[in-house]
Amino acid sequence: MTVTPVEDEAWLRAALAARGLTLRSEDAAAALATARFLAEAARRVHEAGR
Amino acid sequence: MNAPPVPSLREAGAALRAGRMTAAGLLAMHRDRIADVNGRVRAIWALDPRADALAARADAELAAGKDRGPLHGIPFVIKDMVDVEGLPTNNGSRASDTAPAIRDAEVVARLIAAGAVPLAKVATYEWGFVGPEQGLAEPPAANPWNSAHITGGSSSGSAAAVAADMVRLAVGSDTGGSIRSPSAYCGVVGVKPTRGAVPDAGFFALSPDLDHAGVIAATVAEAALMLAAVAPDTMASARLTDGVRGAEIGYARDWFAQDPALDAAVLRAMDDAAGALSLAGAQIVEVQLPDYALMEAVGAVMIHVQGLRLHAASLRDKGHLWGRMATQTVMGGAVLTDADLQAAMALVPDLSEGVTRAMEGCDALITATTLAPAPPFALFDNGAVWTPMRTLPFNVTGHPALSVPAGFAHGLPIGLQFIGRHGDEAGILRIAAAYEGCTDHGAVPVPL
Repeated sequence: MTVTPVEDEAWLRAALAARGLTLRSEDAAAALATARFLAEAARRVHEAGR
Repeated sequence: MNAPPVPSLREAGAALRAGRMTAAGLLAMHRDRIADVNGRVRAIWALDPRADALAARADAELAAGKDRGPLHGIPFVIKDMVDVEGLPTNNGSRASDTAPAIRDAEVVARLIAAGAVPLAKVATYEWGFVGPEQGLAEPPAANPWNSAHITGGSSSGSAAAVAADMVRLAVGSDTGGSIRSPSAYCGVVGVKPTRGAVPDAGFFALSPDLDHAGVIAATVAEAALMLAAVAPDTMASARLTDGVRGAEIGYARDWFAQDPALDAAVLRAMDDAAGALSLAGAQIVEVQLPDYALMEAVGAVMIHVQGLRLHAASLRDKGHLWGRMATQTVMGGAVLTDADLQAAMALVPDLSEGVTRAMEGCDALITATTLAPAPPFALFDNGAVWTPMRTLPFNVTGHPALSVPAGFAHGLPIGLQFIGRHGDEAGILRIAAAYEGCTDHGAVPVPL
């Protein structure tokens, strides 16, 4: 099982940059909250699939 | 001006065929109602310039003895994520292509072929993803029952226009509850058919494995007539007046009753609904559905992986035109990988089988559509909020599901959700019609 950790804003910025996307500072907190919610969803999915 | 609600399909159909009304006159009644109330509801975004010609065609055909059926001459509206010839499909976003659609979506074409008259494009959340957001090209639609509250989305204008009695029929789409939740919040009937039962050609894709085309209407019978026009196979065996005597209905009470976000009034309404169905002759049995949190997680992973794939180029090239909520929500999906999507999709067959198994011996399941009535706009002042509902799992599994009005909590409508076996839209519409017939929730006049 591999679940991507969401560490901080810098991590998310880098993940988006890899897709050619730029995270604006005013969007960072909300995008990070969504990312953490989704990381937990992915953890749950992988856990169920084991 | 004080324009009355538009007439039901039954009333309008009888008047058209008796020569007491023309389709052109019916269209004018709809426009008068829009002029009267849309300033408060903001559901209607663009009128279809073809409506007059198509209403005139309907009148000419009736005069010549040609009757296309129960939708002949009846206006309908279309969510602005669905192509309508000659109008841009804006998807609620400034970043959309503004070129007019060159042809109607298949559903729109089928409705027109059934004699219906395309009245207008209606409001949606940006890309169908998230809302409500102020400051976009168009303001979000407001709940007709209390304009300080949201409609839900993303088929927000479809539900609000029907609830405000501007129209009886609306086209919507549902990827995680986008037909059923606004229908519950606004007190109308919303049907998400079995996945693939209604063609979605000409609909903007949000998540190809979860997207469903569907309908919103003022009553179950009107939803059934609309569904019969866009997907005749689904309604071939429909007998809406058969009632529920002898039917067995599974009540998925535990699936929502322990959620801390549940409004106690919703639980009372759901228990009352189970009681009403029992009094009407159905046998109610409690059933256990697969783990809700897991089903939501599977759906959330699918939507966000596919959503980011779909939107990355637009975000890159036109991100400055995007609203903040959609930007933040789509970008959050960067945490997910293709492996996450594969893992989520690998669970779908078992989850679908789990729902089908829960339905064994039952004619339908019931559960709450949303766990609370429509929240106020103020809740969204600081960004998107995940509102509690029980809709996304049936996008994951593809089972048909619909929401019908089930009463009020704090002065706002709430919805009861019916779920059926794959392909059994007719069955859940029959049971929903029986429920609607033994209650009067849908008959309460909207305070506009």
